[in-house]
Amino acid sequence: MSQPAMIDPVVSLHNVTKTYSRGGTEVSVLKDLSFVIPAGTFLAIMGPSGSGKSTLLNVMAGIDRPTSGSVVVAGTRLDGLSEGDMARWRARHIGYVFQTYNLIPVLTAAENVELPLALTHLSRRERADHVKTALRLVGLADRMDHYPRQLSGGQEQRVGVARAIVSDPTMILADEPTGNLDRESADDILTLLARLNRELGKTIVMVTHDPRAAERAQMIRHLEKGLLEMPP
Amino acid sequence: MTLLRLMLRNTIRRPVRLTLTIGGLAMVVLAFGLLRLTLDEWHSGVKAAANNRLITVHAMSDSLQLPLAYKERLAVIPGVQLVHYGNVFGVEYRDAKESFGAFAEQMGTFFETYPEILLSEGERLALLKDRSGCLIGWKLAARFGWKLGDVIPLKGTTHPGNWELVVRGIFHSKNPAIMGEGELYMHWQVANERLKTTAPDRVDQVGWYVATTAPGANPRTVVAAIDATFANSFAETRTEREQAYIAGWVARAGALLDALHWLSGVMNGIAALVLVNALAMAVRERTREYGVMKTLGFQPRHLVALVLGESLLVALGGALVGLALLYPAARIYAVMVAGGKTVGTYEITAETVGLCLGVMVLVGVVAALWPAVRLSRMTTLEGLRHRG
Ligand SMILES: Nc1ncnc2c1ncn2[C@@H]1O[C@H](COP(=O)(O)OP(=O)(O)O)[C@@H](O)[C@H]1O
Ligand SMILES: [Mg+2]
Repeated sequence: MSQPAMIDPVVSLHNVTKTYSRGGTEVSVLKDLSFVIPAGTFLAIMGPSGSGKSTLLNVMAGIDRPTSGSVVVAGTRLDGLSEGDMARWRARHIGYVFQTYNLIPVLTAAENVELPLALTHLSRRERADHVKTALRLVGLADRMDHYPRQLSGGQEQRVGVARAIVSDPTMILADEPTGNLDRESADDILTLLARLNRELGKTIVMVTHDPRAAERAQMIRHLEKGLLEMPP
Repeated sequence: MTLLRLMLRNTIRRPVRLTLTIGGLAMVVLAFGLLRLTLDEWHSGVKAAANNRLITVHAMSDSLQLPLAYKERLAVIPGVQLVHYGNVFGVEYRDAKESFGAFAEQMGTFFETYPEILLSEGERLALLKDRSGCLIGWKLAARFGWKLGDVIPLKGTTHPGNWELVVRGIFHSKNPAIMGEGELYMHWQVANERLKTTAPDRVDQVGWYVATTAPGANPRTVVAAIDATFANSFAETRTEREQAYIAGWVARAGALLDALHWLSGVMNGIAALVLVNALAMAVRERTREYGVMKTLGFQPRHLVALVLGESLLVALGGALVGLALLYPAARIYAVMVAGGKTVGTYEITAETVGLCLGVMVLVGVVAALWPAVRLSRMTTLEGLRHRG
């Protein structure tokens, strides 16, 4: 499959469709999508609300399954995996950033960031080091012991990004990561994502309907009526 | 570690709900514990009864009397080592309300038959020497402030007339469930002699025989031999091992026992429902968080462990608070129920504590089942999409 001359794709989708049946009628959300995302890309997927952006991202994250077609992410074919294997695979390869941050309210910033490391075999010390590094990277080293309710939206999302990178996943998927933020906080997050891509070489796929957010990515693709189009 | 912390924080997340839930569980544990104490008290008599003592009473009713003449015939039955006998000695002290249990016993065989009685040698000899002497349990002595040498004036009911008995011994019992410490024992001969003038038709009769079997003798064989000896006699006998005799007495309250057992089951059901309700609410509220955890790569078993741990923590919290309340409650209960008449021990045994803890662990597991199943079946997306 891999061709030596090309950079290995982190994501490759072939003839992916996703349909929902709603009250007897079939609704086609993804229509025969095929594309690859090379490693190290910062891709923005744009499109109006309801166009299937989240569905596409979730298919790549292995938290949703396509109706047909094949999905290969980080060298693994996802369609064959059981739920359990999929979760294990996800823990290893995917860092997910939510629009609504989704921090655990009873855990501090540091504990939230540490949560994914509970699935690793790292020692206590190593975990603490990873957490500190991740929080320093997002500029929140001084807020380690704050609970989510003690943080601003922008800070919460930075903790969310720290949680997504702490286990050093192959790829970061972000679903409207700036959708709930003011302009300034949004810019901070976008700068952070761009830095993660540029300095650490992380592959990032970000879903957004905000053109200003999308501009910060290396590459923009439009999802319209279930079809992916190159920008004009 | 992180998961453990998350479990603890989740548990104490809603302090008011947690307090109410633990309070509810504690009440159930308390009620359950008191019920166990009552049942224990009844059963301890059975368990503690000696296996080598056989009780022979009238076959038709244990309130009917047997002839004294049976004594010799009992003594020669193979396997019988010692024959003791006694009667109820009904008395009133001052007024009827202050009555207590009293018995007329053949003192010559009493102490050998009941090694449970702890009495100094001096007091024992003084009692045997004094025909108007009596032996009282220390609790009875304490109740009326009686000391050695005190004269107790009594009005006889089963044995008419006025009696003046001298306290010659105050004993402790190795086993209060069998040999109570709140009763009075006097000489059978003395009671019998008085009947010659007051109720001649009841002279030379005994309420029960207690035969002690010889070591190595099979009590069951001896039981059968005794009843066979008196079959077709004027007064047929019914003989049982003391254990069986007391068990029979407990069994006669069987319907009540059954009801109490059912009641404990119902109470634990209530506990489970209290916990299920609290847990289901908590898990529903946190559905989205569980979805996030699944997105991070956590498996259903991790989430089940979180919920199960929380359930067990709350259940054990309820058990501990309930047990902490049970100790003082048992003390009050013993006084209330016993009313000073036959003072029970109402001791909280390790078994009761274990049972309360065990039952609560079970309740904790049962309560976690439904939320655990729900979490296992929930897909990551369902969790993330949940709006609570
Ligand atoms: N579980 C579902 N059942 C039915 N329809 C769904 C379900 N999930 C998503 N959809 C539909 O799929 C379409 C795409 O949804 P989504 O991927 O969330 O779009 P976007 O993220 O671009 O706003 C929408 O029309 C939505 O209503
Ligand atoms: Mg969306």
